[in-house]
Amino acid sequence: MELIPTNIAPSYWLSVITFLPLVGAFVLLFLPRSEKNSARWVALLFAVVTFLVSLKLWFGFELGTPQFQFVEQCDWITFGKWKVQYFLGVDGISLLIVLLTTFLTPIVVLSAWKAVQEKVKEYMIFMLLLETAMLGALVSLDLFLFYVFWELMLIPMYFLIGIYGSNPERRRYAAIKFFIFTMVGSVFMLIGIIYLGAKYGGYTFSYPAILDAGIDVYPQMWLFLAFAVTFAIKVPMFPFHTWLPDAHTEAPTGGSVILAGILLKMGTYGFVRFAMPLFPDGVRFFMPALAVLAVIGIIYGALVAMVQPDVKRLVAFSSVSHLGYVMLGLFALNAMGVQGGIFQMISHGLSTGALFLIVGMIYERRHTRMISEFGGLAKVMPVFAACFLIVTLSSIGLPSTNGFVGEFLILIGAFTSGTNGALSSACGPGAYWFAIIAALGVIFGAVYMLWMFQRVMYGKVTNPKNENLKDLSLREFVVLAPIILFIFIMGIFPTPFLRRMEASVKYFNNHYAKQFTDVNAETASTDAPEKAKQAAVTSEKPGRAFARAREAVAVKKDADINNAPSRPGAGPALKSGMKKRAAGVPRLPELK
Amino acid sequence: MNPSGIQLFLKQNFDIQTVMPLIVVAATALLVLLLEATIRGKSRTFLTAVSLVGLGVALLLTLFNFPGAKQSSFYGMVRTDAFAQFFTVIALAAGSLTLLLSANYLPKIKSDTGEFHALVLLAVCGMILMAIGNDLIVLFLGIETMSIAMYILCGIRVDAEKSNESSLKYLLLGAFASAFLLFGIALIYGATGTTNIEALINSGGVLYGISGIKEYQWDTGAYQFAETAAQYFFILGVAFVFLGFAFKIGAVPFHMWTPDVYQGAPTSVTGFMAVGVKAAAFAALIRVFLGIVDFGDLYSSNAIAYQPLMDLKDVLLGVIWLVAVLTMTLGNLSALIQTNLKRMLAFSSIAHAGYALVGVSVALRLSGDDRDAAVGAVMFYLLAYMFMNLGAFGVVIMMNRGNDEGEHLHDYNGLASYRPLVAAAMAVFMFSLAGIPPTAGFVGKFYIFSAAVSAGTVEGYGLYFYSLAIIGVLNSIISVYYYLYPLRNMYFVSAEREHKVELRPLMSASILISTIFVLWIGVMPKGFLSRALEGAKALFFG
Amino acid sequence: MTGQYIPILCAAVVSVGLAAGMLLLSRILGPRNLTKRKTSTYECGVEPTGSTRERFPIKFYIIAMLFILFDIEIIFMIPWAIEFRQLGFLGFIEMAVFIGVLVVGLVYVWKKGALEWD
Repeated sequence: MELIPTNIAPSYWLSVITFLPLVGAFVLLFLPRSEKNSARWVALLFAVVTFLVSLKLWFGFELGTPQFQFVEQCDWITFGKWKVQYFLGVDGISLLIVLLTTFLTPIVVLSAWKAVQEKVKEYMIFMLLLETAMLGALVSLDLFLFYVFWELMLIPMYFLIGIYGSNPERRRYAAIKFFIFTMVGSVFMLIGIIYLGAKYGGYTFSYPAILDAGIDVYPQMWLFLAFAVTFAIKVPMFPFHTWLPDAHTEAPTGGSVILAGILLKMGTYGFVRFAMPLFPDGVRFFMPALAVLAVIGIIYGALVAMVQPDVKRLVAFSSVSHLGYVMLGLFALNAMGVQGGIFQMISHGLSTGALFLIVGMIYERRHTRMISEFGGLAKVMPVFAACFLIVTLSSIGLPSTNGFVGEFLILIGAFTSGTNGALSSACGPGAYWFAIIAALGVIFGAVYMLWMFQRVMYGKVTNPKNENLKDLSLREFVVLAPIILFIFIMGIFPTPFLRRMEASVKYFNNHYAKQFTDVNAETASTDAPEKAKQAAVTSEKPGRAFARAREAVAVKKDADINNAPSRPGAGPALKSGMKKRAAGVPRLPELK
Repeated sequence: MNPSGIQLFLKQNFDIQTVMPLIVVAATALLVLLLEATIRGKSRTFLTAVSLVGLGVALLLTLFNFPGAKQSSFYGMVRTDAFAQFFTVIALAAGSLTLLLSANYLPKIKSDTGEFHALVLLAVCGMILMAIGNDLIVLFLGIETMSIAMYILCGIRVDAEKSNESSLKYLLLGAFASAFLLFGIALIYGATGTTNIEALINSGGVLYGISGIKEYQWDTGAYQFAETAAQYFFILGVAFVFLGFAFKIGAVPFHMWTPDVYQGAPTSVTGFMAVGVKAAAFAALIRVFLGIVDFGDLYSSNAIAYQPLMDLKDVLLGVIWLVAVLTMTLGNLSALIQTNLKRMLAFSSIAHAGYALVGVSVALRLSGDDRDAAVGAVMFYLLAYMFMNLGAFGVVIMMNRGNDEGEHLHDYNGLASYRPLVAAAMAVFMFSLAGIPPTAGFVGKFYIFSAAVSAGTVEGYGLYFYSLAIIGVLNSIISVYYYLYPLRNMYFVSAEREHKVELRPLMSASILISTIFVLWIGVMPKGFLSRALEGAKALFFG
Repeated sequence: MTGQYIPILCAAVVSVGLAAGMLLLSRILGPRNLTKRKTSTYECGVEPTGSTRERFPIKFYIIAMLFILFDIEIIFMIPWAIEFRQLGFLGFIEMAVFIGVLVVGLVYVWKKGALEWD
């Protein structure tokens, strides 16, 4: 199916939404520095208007089609053969993250009302600039354009951490670390993008064109690696996560909320949008490693979070853990896993955003975030305690909150995929252990969150400084209320959200089913014909491809989950498949 | 010769119109010199105004009244094509911005002399000559005109020891490089019988012109053309010419003079040197070397058996590949450890020459549209680099408080809090130099690297060009670190004391212009890119 | 063909070898008794007085440079004078420009006081 509708009605909604914050930043530029309050109001106004306009996307979104909607396409830069387009569009995958962005930004602006007292104007300019960059990256369908926005995100975030961070010495380090880490990954992606454009895009960087071009197997390996490292740093996946705690601890509250709520999602979004659909063979090859890293991230993040003395650092590590779930869900490559992954992106954005807001609120009152400094706050601040509890439970994934839906879908998806699907086909028949180990993470999550909550909120008020803390002000309540509302809405009525991503996720998975069927059919027919025959007889239609794949791989190796991913067992089968593809074996026709 | 015949002859060979911008600039230089000497109680701002008017007129002439494409005149000595036009514009713009920057800076360093203006104008003359020169001799003249003016400009702070050192170092090493260049030209002339690049191509790839290298034939007793020897002479000549150019663009291993000279020279001169001299040298380098490579190709296509000259292209490619890699890497690594911003920018300018060389090496290998794209990318990069680098030097000048004060990185502490606009402009320049969108530097780097990557996909030289692109982006990461450093000081560190930073109108105007162009080129590069591509297309004969 | 150059190579080797050999031999074989007489600048001449690195006024340099400049002007003007008719109006214009440039230089030098001795 064509991803881009052939006759595009002119639509300017995405441009308006993307650049409205930029206009706001421009307006702010001309405000005098002393006008702190008007700077806040102008920023809030633009953020809210952007959110209201973006609602058009929610209501005007056409269900049941994986096509991109609200498409805008025109030439931007031409240079000889090279053509860069201004090419925007949303589909079910990006829609919700776009809305999350426009939803969180006004909240973040509002949360900084009191917390930021110096350089208010600049703070707001950076925030709005960041919003434009994030929205731009989410709606870009041209890889060049995407890269421009992707890099543009760094600049405001760099300043937000560096200028408004808490500790003057460490924030500089954190800001530069954040910048360099992200940059290191993305320059390799740049090379990848250029290569894709030159080789497969016909000297354009149009995402649908490159998707259709069908990339050769061998380049897919290093291209996927280039993209995956970029996005894995941003997510951050396990070995690349070291910038995150520093950046989070040092960033101001608003910066942390944006960072956790949206910027990290850019990494996972990058996987769903670019790295995975473009390089299916690369995904298959690196899937064992990535799935293991995701699971390690889940457990490691949770364990490290447990021992953090600093609430904010604890929440930062919990992000590492939660995003591990998202990655696992995406790698499940079935409807539930991927939908759960995307759903978890949104719900993590809300709940972790809210957690950072809450930490910020305590910090504003006490100027410390050490757990040991607190205790018994529930007595002093009852409303605050209630909000905190709801958000904590959402983060743990209690049923009827948003966290539950996402995690549940992911675990189910990963388990099915691990028993009879993509994960097992790529990693071996014991891959359901991924889901089981990941489920342990849920328990750990409950432990560290509740333990933290208990130490901070319950018990006696041990520290005299805590006795006279004020409860939430109206503004703070207004900041938290919409998030809490959505925590419940998404937890109780997840269907409208899931329905919007359904068609796109289905397309995404079909794309994969095609890839897996293709290779495994060959593998099966050459390496283990009788097994394949059996599989064809025994397995039912939906899981047929994956079942065959699993059987085929099973011939080659024993079931041992602990070293399965790193063992070469999966390698030969896949490699032999790859070689054949490279030698010019045609792809199977698309699944209609 | 009848009158109409003379006119036709003049029209063909002495078309004054083709060198009009050059004449205007030269005349302005003389006028400024005269005014400086004759007018008493002179105001230097007046001289700046006169010079700027001259440059402005030349710029208008270049932009709107440039002779048609591919026109050679003066017996093929100059060639005023779109390529020449592009680099003439760069030279004129660099000169204008430099004069704007210097207007308030020169009194501070006690070198407020009219000669400064005249010398800048003369250097611009040399650069224009390098842009339009189509003959090795004319190019050499241009290089010398430019260089001699630059030698003096470096030492214009007569009472500053560092400035004197800078001038002397530049002169001695520059003269050395010029000698090599001239020797190379002589060797090429000896082998081919011409110094004219167009004639070189039009010869159809035949060595031996009017004064070929002869050898004595023992059996017949006659003198005959020594083909193989001529080839070696040619190759040696090419090597020497490259050496001369490599010195001018500050490429490793001929970069040793750069940091000292750049640091010692007055800051506005440093900026001018980094962008103007470099751009002009690249213009000449591209013209000469693509001509030479074309000649080599023609020669190879004529040859029946193996000839040493056939390897020229590959050898050149290898050499320039190596030079580009070394230049990028050494420049960036050295810049990493600098604490003086001016010196850091000097090292970074070495690195930027390396990025441009990446494009040159790609252009040498490719042909047709791909080559045009590579050359166009280099041209565009040099244009972008002019604005961002002069802007950055402009901020350094603005921070200057006489002598070398205000150049150290810690002088920038907390600048954002008391001069937010200056800091913001500096941030734009730094991000652009680091190649982060949406700035001119990013688009420039992007097209250079895409030229490299597409060269890897098109040709069978994947290893060469992919590795070049990857080394290039790795270097970008290194450079990000040191470009972020001034930003860190400006934005994240609070000022111990506020320095007096005067926002003088001319200086501010120059920085503002640079900022606008850096952002404009970054967001809407289409027009600039198409002009660059036009220039690249005009470059090749036939 | 490169055989052509072998004689030149031989000559070069012989001449360099001879010169190097003589220097080397005299260094090895020659007796070395450094007396005060022997180390003086001119072993058998007038006693030198003062330093050879004497500084003399910069004015001399300026005069020398100006002399060279105008000397070159003459070099260009003489052929023009001889071929005046043939070069015609174009030659005249070119020469006028050339002289004009030099005149500007002269005026500059004059006004800057480089022509005044004191």
